Amino acid sequence: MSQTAIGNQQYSDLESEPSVFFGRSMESRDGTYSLDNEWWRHTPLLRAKITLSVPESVIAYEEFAIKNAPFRLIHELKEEKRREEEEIRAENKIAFMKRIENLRGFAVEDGVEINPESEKDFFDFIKSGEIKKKALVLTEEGNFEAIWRGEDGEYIALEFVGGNIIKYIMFSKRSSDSSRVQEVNSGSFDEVKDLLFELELTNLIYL
Amino acid sequence: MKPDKIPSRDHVVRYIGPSFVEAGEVSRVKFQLRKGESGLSVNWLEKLGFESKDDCINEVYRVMSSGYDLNKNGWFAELQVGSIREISNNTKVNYDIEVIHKPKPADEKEGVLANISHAEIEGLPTINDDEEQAELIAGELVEICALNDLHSLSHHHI
Repeated sequence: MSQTAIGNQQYSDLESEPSVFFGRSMESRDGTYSLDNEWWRHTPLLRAKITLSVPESVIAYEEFAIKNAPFRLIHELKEEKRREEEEIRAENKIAFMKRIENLRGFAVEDGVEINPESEKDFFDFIKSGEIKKKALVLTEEGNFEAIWRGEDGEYIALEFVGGNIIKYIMFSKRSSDSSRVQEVNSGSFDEVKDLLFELELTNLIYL
Repeated sequence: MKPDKIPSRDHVVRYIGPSFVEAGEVSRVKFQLRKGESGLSVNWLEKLGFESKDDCINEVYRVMSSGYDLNKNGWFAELQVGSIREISNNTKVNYDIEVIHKPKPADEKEGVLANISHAEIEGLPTINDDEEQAELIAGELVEICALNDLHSLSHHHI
């Protein structure tokens, strides 16, 4: 007999009942269980879609821990995701700081004087959102230029020229005929962010 | 005199300091003409006649070092000439880009060696002349270049 267990209730007839579990686990009275399960990602949480084929003796327990279970409780997933994101943010921040320190040395070797206004704007920009660290270079004028490139021809180069202005060049994803939108201009932080959204480039730049 | 165009299958390199490169990306500014420049300076690798690319780049480094203070943490951006020419086919680009061989004689007084492989990417606008086009073309050049790490080359060969 097929059953679907949700929380501490039991439902018969799996096909007619949605079998969505939020990280809850179950076990049978005799300590065994049999699950055929599928997974899919539902951002930001993992949800388990579980198709059950279990004996009648199964009793569902809410928040019952099963060792090596292929799913976990929703709050555990949330907590793990939060920790992972925090680690990524911290690593990202360290990567930016390390690169800036390297650039200070290289700038001297290359005879470039870093523009303090550009540096200030760059820091303001990375504080304004969770920005992915990719390439960070200097221009000959000593401005910071951050670059991101995607796998389908997407390209973003943002040069922080000071005065809260960004000179940008953005190429959108290539379409089926290999063409793409190419934008070259300068604008405020908000204008740049709007354009990133419009060209569907936000995934490239934000964590 | 007829300009000495470099064959499309051949390659040119351009020196880039370490401040302008990270993670395989180059500041597009390094591919923009500065005021007063007629073209972007590059070196034609095949002209040097060495068998390996590394040997060609080492020779470019040796010759350029006689006139410029090159950083060993720097890079040589390598571009295929045909790909450079193709940028003119982009419907948004309004300039005819050409790669011309322009060897430089030695300057014995300054101790600068003759640069037989010197060439220029010509037909580019400067930022002052046409900022949008200069940025767009630089973005395209950046996209087609491959980077050669001078540090690893210098460690083994120079």
